[in-house]
Amino acid sequence: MKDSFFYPILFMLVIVIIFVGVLAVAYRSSEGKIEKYRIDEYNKTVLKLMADKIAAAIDADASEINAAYPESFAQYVKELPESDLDKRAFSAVVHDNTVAYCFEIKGKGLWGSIRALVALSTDYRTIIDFALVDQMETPGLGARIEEPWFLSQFRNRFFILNPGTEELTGKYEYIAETQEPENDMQLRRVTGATITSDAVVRMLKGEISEIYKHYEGQ
Amino acid sequence: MDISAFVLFWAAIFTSNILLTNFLGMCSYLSVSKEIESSIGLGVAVFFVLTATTALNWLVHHLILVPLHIEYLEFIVFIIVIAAFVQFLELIIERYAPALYYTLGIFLPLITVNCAIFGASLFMVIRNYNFLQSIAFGAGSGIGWLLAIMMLAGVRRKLKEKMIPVGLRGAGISLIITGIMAMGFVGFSGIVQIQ
Amino acid sequence: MKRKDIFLTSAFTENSVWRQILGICSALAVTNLMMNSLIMGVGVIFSTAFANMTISFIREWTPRSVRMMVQTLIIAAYVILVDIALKAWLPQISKQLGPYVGLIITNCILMGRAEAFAMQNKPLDSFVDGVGAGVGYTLVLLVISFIRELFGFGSIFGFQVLGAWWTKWSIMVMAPSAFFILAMFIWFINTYYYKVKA
Repeated sequence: MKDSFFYPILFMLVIVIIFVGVLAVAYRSSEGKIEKYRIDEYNKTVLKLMADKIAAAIDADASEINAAYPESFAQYVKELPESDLDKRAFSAVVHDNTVAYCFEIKGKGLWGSIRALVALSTDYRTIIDFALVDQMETPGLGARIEEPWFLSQFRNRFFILNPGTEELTGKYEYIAETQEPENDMQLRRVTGATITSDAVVRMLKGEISEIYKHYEGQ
Repeated sequence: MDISAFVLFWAAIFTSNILLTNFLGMCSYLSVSKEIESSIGLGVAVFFVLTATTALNWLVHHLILVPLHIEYLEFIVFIIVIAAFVQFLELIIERYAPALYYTLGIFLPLITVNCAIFGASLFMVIRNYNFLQSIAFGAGSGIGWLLAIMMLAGVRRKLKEKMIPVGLRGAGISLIITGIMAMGFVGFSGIVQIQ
Repeated sequence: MKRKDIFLTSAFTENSVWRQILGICSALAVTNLMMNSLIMGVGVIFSTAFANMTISFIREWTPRSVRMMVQTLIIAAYVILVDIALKAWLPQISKQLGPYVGLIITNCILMGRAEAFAMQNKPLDSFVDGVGAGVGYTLVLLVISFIRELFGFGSIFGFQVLGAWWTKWSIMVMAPSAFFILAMFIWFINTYYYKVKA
């Protein structure tokens, strides 16, 4: 029987049905959990980026606000309705006063698209905080743009410098990772990942200029 | 995702060589690189299969798996596509080009378990490439792999008569050479401009 | 052969990484942090053990002509289970390992153990052999990542052990260092464990 023509085909079929069945059950049962984690992670980042501003407005500590997720998220963060800007946008509202905005921005790195969240001041000119959502850069090289020292250098950076002119953002000078910046116009770059570091700055420049132009007219 | 396919092709060969920066396809790389001729044979076969299966898997993923919402089966489907393609290629070559079969044929079974090929398909999905980018990425990775194994085989031939500590012979010294090559390739990062 | 001997043989004397030079791809790629290595190792132990057991269990009925396809399919199924589990319970680590979890499928160790051991032996013995091969592999991963993380980040399992005075070695984080450390490791094993002589 084992030598017949159909036996291997039948055997393969049975094996496939059994294993695919097991996998389908495993996947379907954990699907909801995976999705929920993804949304939670995203919302937590949005909250974290604006936590300092919210904390200042209600005279609390930023860590308390982060710890109070999801209640604090529901209380302070509102998702803005979709506009022709075509970006997901959130605002932090305390006592009917908007204290900060947060936008989802996209750019391209060396290997694929980079998705990030950036919190902006209410005049859209200063970066309050900045975090990455997705990136596919080379592990150990480009992927090091996720490291805190790189991300935090954008914190509280006055970004829209020349309103009313063609070049809204300033010209930044790049320095090595190990150097200490001497002034506000210097940015440290990840060693060995020039393209990825530049891509992040280019993404911020392009997207924030677009956001600024879109909202200043209103 | 709008990195041009051309740039991706060069990046896959030099700045992010699939073997030297992502460590994929090491097993056959280390075992076959003893002879230059067989290295080239295997390298060419890998290049060919890599390009074709990356394109095939792109089609399978976007035309079958995504519409049916069974992306979680992609590992199984990809590996079967690769195994089936290699088997199919073997049959075709044996039937229509016997001469080529004798030089290339023995390497084909080795390819099914070459993780560079499977890896390229996975990267293609994770990085969300379009069809043209996938082909460029597959071809670039294949050429990058061919380049790496040829270089190692060349160096190993020179080393044959040299005094190398006994414990380091074979795999050990090959790994060190590969490490030095990988460091050289780090120097390429930056030549490709992404616009 | 006793189960203990099966385990010891496949974990140490015939260790897949340093003896047979298999499964190097992932041994190098995920070793810049110890945590990643440990999780990867656990994933490999789980999938080799169960894939080995399953393959051995159905070996009597498996037709030779589709043997490779069946083995690949079973291995792939267990690896997908590991992947789903990581995504659901340890999403952070799943993100860092990226495609390398899927690459366990093409890890030659799994295929090697299935062909060399599971096809000829009883299910329980195969299970033990799979665990052994996985443990041996994890061991190598941990040794390499210990060196890389210590010099590259000054930490062990994410805990900072070297103070701010430590200048981090960027090379340890980057790809090439993995090759050198693995080469040194194999050299050491060959000289002091197998006592290879010219």
